[in-house]
Amino acid sequence: MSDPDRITRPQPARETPFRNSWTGPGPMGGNQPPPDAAVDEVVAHAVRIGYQVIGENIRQGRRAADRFSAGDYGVRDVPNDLTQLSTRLLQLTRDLSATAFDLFGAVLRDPTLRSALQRNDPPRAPSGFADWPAPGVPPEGRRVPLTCDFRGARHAVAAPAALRYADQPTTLSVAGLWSPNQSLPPLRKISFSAAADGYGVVATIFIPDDQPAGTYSGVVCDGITHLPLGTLTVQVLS
Amino acid sequence: MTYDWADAIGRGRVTPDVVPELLREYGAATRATVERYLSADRPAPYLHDLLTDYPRRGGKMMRPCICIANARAFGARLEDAIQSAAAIEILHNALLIHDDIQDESEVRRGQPTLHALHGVALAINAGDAMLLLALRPLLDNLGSLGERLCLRILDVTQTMARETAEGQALELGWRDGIATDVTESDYLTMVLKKTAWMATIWPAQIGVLIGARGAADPARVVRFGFFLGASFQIQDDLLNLIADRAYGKELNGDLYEAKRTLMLIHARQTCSARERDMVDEFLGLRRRDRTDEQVRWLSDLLERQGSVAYARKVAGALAGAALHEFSLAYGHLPPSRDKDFIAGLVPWVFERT
Repeated sequence: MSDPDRITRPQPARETPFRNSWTGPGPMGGNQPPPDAAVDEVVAHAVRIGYQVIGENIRQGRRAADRFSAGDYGVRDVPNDLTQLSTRLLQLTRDLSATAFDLFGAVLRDPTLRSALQRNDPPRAPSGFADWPAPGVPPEGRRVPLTCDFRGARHAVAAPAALRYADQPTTLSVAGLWSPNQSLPPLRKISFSAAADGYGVVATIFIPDDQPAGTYSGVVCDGITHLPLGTLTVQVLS
Repeated sequence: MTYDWADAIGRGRVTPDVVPELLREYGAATRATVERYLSADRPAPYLHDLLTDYPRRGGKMMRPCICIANARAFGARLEDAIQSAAAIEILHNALLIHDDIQDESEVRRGQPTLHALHGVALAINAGDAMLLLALRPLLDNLGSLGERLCLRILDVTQTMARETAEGQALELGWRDGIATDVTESDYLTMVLKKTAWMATIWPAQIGVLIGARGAADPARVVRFGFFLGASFQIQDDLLNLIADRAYGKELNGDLYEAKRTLMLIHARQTCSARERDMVDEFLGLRRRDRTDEQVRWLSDLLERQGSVAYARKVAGALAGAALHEFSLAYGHLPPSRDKDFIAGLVPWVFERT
């Protein structure tokens, strides 16, 4: 039986649901897969290897950074496969101007050369860039950038932070990082070191495997005067 | 306002419009800056035309756009990142010249390679000059960004240069040493070093440093950059098998060069012992000794073993991991065109031509 006055929903143009690989969780779509959703073996294998490769690369980078900063990294630490390829690698490194970048960094650290370079006129802006920034004005003012180096298997991110300059050379201290939820244990294993480039501070934060996800923050203080220099906030991800 | 993914999927295309828009917009700004840095004040016979040849052929401009979009997503202006973007593009083109020589490639962006046009010696000279000219925009950052940021940009640049050199050495070493036992894990390590570090990780790191004025750790984008770069490289390898004129590279060029692609590794691992011997024999030949017939046989083997479909699936899986890492690295940022652009690069990898 048909009713000409009855309002009906128009037939959809599509014949199947909008569903493809981009409609999964994350920024492409809002639907979370069921927890027991099957994952194709090839997909799981590929992602597992991918994380192993990038994880190993990051671990090697951290170990190298630790040892470089401690000053005991030697030729004997170069992996064997690269030692065998040393001739080619040296040639390629030259091609890539890695040495030039090293030299460039050294030049920039020389105060006389640096000030001479800063006196140079900046390049003219391409047409359309009317508000090309003025040269020679450090944008940050007198703040010390603070970056975080997380240790442990958990993922975490740090909120951008900078510390006020201490009035005189000092050490840094932080009692711990606490969650607004008082029942959660604080992060207490935190140490500070100078950044490798000499222009900032690195906070090394160990996150236990069983640390609950959430936001943790604490006040970084001058170790001598105990005056607060800034706030360190991190987010431990689930 | 954020991008409506459901609407895009309904239209049968997933890459948001902001991706081609910003590639055009930021790409044009970068090209203008690159042109300014490469244009000589005085005529330079046998050099100037070679320096500007590859940049003027076009290109996707993905690398500089990643840098600018990251800088803007983290709060900077286009002008703050344009010099670094130009350095990235100049360095990329310099390495293309050297790559083409090392790989004995004949076609780049639809035209003969630089060494095919001018000879190896002049092409190497132009590549060397571009590598050093790429330093100039980074040097000019000193005036606009300050000493500390300039040094930190150099720091991540040094890391990229070493990772990329190691990756290139791995690939060339495998080829020249006639390595046949390369695994998928070896392949992804090579892709991380040779492709991802320069194509995605490094540009994103520079952008993050500029955008956050050095307050954000550039390591936050390494995982995202790796998975995006890896899916990009695998898709690039797949496109090489179905290349046409629009793609701008020679058909089956990777097979002629015996590049250890994921497809080749998979096919060699899954084929019969006799076929494996034939593959190994092919890998042991010099490029000029590999015949069209052998390349066709190898191409058929990849299809027969399901290696092309396998690589497509792996590329998709790594793209999924890229989206996961995107939400970790960028999820806290407010909505913006630049944030949508960075996420949109993941489907764009598969929908580009």
